[in-house]
Amino acid sequence: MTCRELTELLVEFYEGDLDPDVREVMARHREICPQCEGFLRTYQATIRLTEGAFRQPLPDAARDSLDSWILAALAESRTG
Amino acid sequence: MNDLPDLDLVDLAQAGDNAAFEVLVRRYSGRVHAIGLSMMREDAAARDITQEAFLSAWRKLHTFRQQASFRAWLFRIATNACLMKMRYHRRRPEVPLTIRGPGFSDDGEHERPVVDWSPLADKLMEDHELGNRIRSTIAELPDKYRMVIVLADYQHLSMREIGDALDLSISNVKTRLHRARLAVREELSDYLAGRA
Repeated sequence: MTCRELTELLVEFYEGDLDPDVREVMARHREICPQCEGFLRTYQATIRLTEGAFRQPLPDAARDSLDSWILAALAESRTG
Repeated sequence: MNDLPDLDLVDLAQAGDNAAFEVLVRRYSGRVHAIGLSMMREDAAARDITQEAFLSAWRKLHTFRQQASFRAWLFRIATNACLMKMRYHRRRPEVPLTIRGPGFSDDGEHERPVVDWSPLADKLMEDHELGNRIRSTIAELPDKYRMVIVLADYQHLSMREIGDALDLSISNVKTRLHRARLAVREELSDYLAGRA
């Protein structure tokens, strides 16, 4: 397995969709290739950081303003 | 009431308790706005999407099944609202962009040294500058990549759910997700490699 081939399998790897044989070949490559081991760790970290980036909250004032606007629209729709 | 679980609040709201639904609005408006912002790339559109999503959720609340996740159901409504808006108001022509990713030699080996900055990741989870860079990288992706990474890595939809939502094969979903993640990873590598 080349480094390119391992990289191309990463979505399947994290989805748990790889055949056991392929997982085994991938594991052996990772043992002898610190570049790919590092790449896999940074790929995994990218997924975590992406999720975290979307979770960062709006500033309080912006959030309050947004909530008020939504609740006003809801109140109007209930009376309309 | 603020501490009640989602499904308890939905129960109350379905029985006519408006205050219960308002708790859900306050609980999720920020995240729905984040979905809207990541898809639409501008705050005004994201605010519109957020309001539309909650209005739609309120109107359809009687259809919500208690066995499901309210959050996932709400996020699906928000995503659909984004997709409708994006199809109707194509913001700019889809110009093919070069999506950044790793380079490989003819032998299939990494062309450039891989710096493992992953140990920094957990420490930097709250770093606003980092978050801004990730969000702007995703905002600059072509629509077809941006939608997939938002649905996968933020909404945690399955490959099949994403394929159903976007009318794509699972294979296409995986390809687009991979390329979007590689683009974000390249941006993070530029930002973090010097600190690792």
